[in-house]
Amino acid sequence: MDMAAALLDTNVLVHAADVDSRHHLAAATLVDRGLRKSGQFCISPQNLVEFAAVVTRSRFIVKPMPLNELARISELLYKSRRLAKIYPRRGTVIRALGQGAALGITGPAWYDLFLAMTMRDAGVQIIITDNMRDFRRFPFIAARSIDDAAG
Amino acid sequence: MKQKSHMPRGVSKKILDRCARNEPVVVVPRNGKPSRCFGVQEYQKMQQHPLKHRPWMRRRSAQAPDPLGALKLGGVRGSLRRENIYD
Repeated sequence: MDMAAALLDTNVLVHAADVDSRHHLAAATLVDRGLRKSGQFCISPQNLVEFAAVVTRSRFIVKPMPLNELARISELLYKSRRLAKIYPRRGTVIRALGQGAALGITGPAWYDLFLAMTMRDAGVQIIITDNMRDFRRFPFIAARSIDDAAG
Repeated sequence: MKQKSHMPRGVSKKILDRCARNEPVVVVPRNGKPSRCFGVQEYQKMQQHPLKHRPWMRRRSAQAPDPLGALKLGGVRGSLRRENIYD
């Protein structure tokens, strides 16, 4: 399998799944590209779980997604052979703990770090996200905005 | 005045070609004159075609990709930072 150029963060998936989102067009363009062409983008299991957690919660989405639709979209993303999946390695957790301590990470930023470490272990250096600031603290990956990446 | 009957050369050639192969021919007239030649199956297939080409529909879908079959969820409330997701 080709090495994916960049990881699509959870918020990209959420914006792509909601027509009413202000980033919908750009996010849908990216996901469409990822589902059509191999070696473009990847996601991790963490993204799919976070996607489910966000779209089914009224705190984040005005009209939470029905569970059958969540299952349909998640399956579509998961089963795509073109959109690569990256997984944490056996040593990713311990490396993340060491890196987090070195960077002084606290609180929920550990989840950002774990995703970033999963990317590093998979050889992916770019994340496309709405939260660029959260990933700037990790020197080993680069963050690009959704609109910039969709071009 | 009686209209002069005329068989276009291309049509007669196609009829002769098909007849030489023992194939039945369908001749379609246009403005009262033989115009196009088809084999029977070819003609039937053409008749079944819906002939509804709508390029604007294709252009619209090309402009706005929707790979996930997005829903109208009313938009995202606030930030989707992990400090909020895992709160």
